[in-house]
Amino acid sequence: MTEVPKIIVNRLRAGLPDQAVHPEANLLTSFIEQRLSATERESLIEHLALCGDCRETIVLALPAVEVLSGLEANVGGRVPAKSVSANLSANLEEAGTATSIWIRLGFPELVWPSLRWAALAAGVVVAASVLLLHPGRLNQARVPAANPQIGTGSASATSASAVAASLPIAASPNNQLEAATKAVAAVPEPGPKKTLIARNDSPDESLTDGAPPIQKAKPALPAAALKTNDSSGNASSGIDSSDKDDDSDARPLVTKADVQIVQRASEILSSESKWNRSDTRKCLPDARTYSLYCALQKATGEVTGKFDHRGAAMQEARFVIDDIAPNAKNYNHRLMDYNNDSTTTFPDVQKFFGLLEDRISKRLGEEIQNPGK
Amino acid sequence: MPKSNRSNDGAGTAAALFERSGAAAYGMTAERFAAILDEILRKYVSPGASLISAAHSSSVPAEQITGFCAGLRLEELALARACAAGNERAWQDFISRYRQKLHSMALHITRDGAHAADLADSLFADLYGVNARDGVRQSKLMSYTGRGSLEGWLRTVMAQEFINRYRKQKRTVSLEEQTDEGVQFAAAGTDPGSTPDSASQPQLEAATDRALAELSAEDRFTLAAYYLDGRTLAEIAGMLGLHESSVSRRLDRLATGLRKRILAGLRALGMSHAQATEALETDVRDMQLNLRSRLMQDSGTKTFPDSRQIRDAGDRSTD
Repeated sequence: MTEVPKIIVNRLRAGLPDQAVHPEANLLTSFIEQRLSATERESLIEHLALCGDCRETIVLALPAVEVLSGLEANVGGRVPAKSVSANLSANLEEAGTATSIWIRLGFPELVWPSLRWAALAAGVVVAASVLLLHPGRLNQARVPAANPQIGTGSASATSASAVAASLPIAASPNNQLEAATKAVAAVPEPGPKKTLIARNDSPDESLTDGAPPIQKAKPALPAAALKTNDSSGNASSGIDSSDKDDDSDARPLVTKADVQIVQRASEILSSESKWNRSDTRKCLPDARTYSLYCALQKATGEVTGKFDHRGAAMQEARFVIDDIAPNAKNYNHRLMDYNNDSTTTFPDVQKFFGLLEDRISKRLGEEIQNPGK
Repeated sequence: MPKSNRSNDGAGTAAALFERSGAAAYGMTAERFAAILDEILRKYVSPGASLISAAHSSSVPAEQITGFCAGLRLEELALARACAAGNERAWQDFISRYRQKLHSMALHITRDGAHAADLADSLFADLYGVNARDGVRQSKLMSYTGRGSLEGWLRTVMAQEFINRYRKQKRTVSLEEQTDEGVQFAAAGTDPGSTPDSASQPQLEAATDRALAELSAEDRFTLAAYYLDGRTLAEIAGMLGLHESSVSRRLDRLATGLRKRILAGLRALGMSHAQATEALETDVRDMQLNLRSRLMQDSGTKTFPDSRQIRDAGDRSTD
């Protein structure tokens, strides 16, 4: 996490007067459960920003454990204060369920403790193969499109049958390594690696789309880890994005063109009949309806003559969604998922563009006042 | 809308809400339940708001009143108020639903079996209303308004009680005990957090105050929770209903933005770019300190223990 100068902490503390009156438990509970009106919430947060006691109360009053399956049913969709370890253990449990198929089918030697050495060997073989077949492209190694099961959420659901189907081959000692390789591909990883795919705003959806809730709930990650795992772009949808440099947190400087992009995108989506509610981020040139993503892409092309997936307008749009979308925590691709979210209405889209234009204009003003900052 | 029609609509709505609440099962009349809803409306919507009495609620749109009431946890509200009124069946329901949960909540909050039992029993007594005033039991459940879940409300009330206890307990801790715990007392008149003998300090403070004042309340809340309270990203995300990665991004953005604004502020106060950078960088160089412990030392007394420390400590309820 970015450190702040000590003076900021000191002045934050210095600005805290003793709070004589505290909000009642009803309001604090409603805040936790995301049931306050916008005005009430704003007013309460004003107090919370100044009152350490009430912040402490809120933290203590957060539900202790909320199971992953309860995420959707949670009142107001609030993100539970779920620990990373809970995530990991849930993943491990899932993996354990999947691997136990070996025991049930009479091959106890193929459960994870035994399998891990085979998996390690298989990993070495795979890595060596990649190096031999694609020298110099190791950093770009990704799941081949020909095997859509790998890396998708459906892996956990189908892994047992896939493994069971390959069992006769696996039973042969000569083919054990091959079987182990298949098993490693089919069985969900027991470790935290999958959960490292925190939010994938880059174009390749194969790693996250259709993922079950367990993979959408992500642990806290250092920014560096997020950046590393956010990079999986390809050019399949005509999106210009580099794998290595794809940074979902990038915040390029804004220009006047970005304001024009947002204005143009807003015009493109000027009526509900033009809104495509089922975005796939594949923007066809002859489309008659547009998603948020495609409207911004089209507008960017018209204004600048090219498109940058991580351009300033696109990035600021994602940050706006972070702040306004109640379900943003569940999004893997903010623009697409907000667009497709059943709770997003057309008035929301219009507000989104208004807010986006305001923010970019404000940033533009700041950057003009402080050039080079 | 004519008042008579509105009054009829209000009565119809009140009847529907009463039915939905199941309050009749606890022997509560529709009039009593409507009076409870009116009390809650007056508290949150408008002093003149009323579900039934159109004459008193003409200033508030009927839709607003109906919408507000429909958003309440009516069934839990009926249960809580019936308990407060001493209804036997309501208490049976309450105990079967929440007694075990109360103990679990207390354990979650205190992380200590003995303290948890004490806290839960104490709250249970408050809920039952052992403190009689004018011969009438005063149940804490009377203050539940159904705006959030009853379980959430119980958790919040318990958390408040725990904090009050902790504060009281800490006031009575002796100097020796504090010293034993390793609490250091700052010398009077010194601020270990400030950069000593710095000519630019007043300007730095002014620029920082201004930059902080420009932030939204939610941003200041996020900063305070992370940098003052030592909250984890998960905890802050839980409080704000965001994802941890969003909080992480927000904090990074705030830190970067504040730095820029402070530098701009210092330049506006007459410093050159190099001087402004130097003033801020000088301050950053000694950032590698435990801010939390410094904050505790600054006040001379400990506030609440770092939740991360408590949770790491297992059985120890306080540090």
